[in-house]
Amino acid sequence: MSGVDTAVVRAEWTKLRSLPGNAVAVVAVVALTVGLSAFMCAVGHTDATRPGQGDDDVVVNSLRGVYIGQIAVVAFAVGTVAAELTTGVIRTTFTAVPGRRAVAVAKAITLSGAVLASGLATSVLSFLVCQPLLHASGFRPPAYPIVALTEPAVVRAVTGTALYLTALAVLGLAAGAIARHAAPSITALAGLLLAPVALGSFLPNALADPLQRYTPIAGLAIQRTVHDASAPIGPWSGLGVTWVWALAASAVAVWVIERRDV
Amino acid sequence: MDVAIEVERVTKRYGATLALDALYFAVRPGLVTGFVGPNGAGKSTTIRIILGLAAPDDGRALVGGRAYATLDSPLRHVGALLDATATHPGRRAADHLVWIAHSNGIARRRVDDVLELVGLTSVARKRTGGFSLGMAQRLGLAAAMLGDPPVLLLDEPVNGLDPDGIRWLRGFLRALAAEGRAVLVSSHLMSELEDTADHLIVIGRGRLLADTSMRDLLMAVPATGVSLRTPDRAAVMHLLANAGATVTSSRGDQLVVTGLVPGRIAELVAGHGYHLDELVSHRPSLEDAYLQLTRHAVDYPTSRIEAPG
Repeated sequence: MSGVDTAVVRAEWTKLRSLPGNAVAVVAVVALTVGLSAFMCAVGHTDATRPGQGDDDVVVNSLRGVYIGQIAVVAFAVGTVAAELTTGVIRTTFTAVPGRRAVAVAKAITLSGAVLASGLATSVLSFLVCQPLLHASGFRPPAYPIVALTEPAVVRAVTGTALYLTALAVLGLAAGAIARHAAPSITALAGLLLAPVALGSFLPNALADPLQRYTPIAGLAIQRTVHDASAPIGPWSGLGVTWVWALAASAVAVWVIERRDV
Repeated sequence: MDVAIEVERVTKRYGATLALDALYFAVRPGLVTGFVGPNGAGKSTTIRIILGLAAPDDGRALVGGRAYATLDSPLRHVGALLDATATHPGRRAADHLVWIAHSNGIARRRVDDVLELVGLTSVARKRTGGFSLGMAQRLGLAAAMLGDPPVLLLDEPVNGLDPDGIRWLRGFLRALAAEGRAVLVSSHLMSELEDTADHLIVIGRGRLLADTSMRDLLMAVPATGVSLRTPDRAAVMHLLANAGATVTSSRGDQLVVTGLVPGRIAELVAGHGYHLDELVSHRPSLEDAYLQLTRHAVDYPTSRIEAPG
């Protein structure tokens, strides 16, 4: 990996923030994701006084908007790079910076920064908005003790969700750079993210478990705060799987763009 | 720097198509060099190879003696205008230049300077999606000038300019060359370069057809002669033929004469008391010279249309 070129990072950041649509998209995605989390928390119901009702994970419940947020992040990342390739701006970029790896690194850094920051805001807001809603829906002590944002497991879930979204942004960037067009990349990644969830209930465990364990969605395990012996993968291992996907795709993308005529 | 750009036996294939075939030429500083050829001749491919955007299958291209990819802050060495419409439509003109400036550590102040240079100051805050092709070309030129480079590569910069814009560009390019910069301007229309270029690189089907100064190219084309109109057609034909000229009669009272200079023709005709209505000397046009060079090198030749009768 060549070093980070701060001039190139600055240029890529200027590119990212000079498109007003991007700021609108970020605000919209944050609002939509928090909104979805809040909705799911508000409509859920439990009667915690009955036996056997204490095994929901209230932190996972309050971060469910990520199912929408992850698709939006992928679409945004793919769209950013595909727009540059299809408009031909990439020629100006590579004329200004012939070191294509430095461009790829700068793009990953700027996009990751933006997604990490907005992902953190989304998770924190989702958690804070959802706790009173869950409480009102019956998720109350003693079955569901009050959880605070500062508890280690909650901190892990909230920051981990942001890191999960960041990995997906990097994965989207790489997929867009390899495929060059937005539609096939977004379709493929959305399928990859949704298939394990959609198929999970139909497949026997022998098939469903590996899907949960080895596809990018494994990273959602980071949201778990309650020990679950039957979980297909642990929190950090799951997040690691998502990042392995992101970094492997990035390596392929860099290999391709360093060799491709533009 | 004696040579600003060297293209050394560059070959490029796209599948079965040979886009560039051992193409070689050099571009010198202080001149506007026209880079001409029919559509599909390989002009844009050549420029993309010089800029390191496409890799040659064989040969190499150097800028100031170095491969483009090895230049530090390349925009301070080479300014390039490729496809002028290749901007993100949602980005403001100034921001398009700001990110380019940032990438090469060029001061923000320079953005305002180049916008003024190309006359786009008033639309600096407008999004490029609303730009006409002419405005896009000016923005592309502004981007090329950001690093104040000694070498400029401009691919079809005349496209989309209105007559005022074309005149402005001509003066702009002449001024850049007068400052000692090397300016390579591609065009598929020779007439666009007639009053701009000092030197010409002519290519067809990826091969070099001519590397010549403008003046030498014009001299290389055979003179097309002198046409004259006279009521005493038969007598004048006889007279000039006897004086050693080749005379052909075209329609009506017109004659086309080669082999005698106009002054001598006038002297002979007048000296024998014949009347002369018109005497026109045909200077070979650059377009003629170009067509002659590229006649066998167009990808999609049009069939000659014969006038009936």
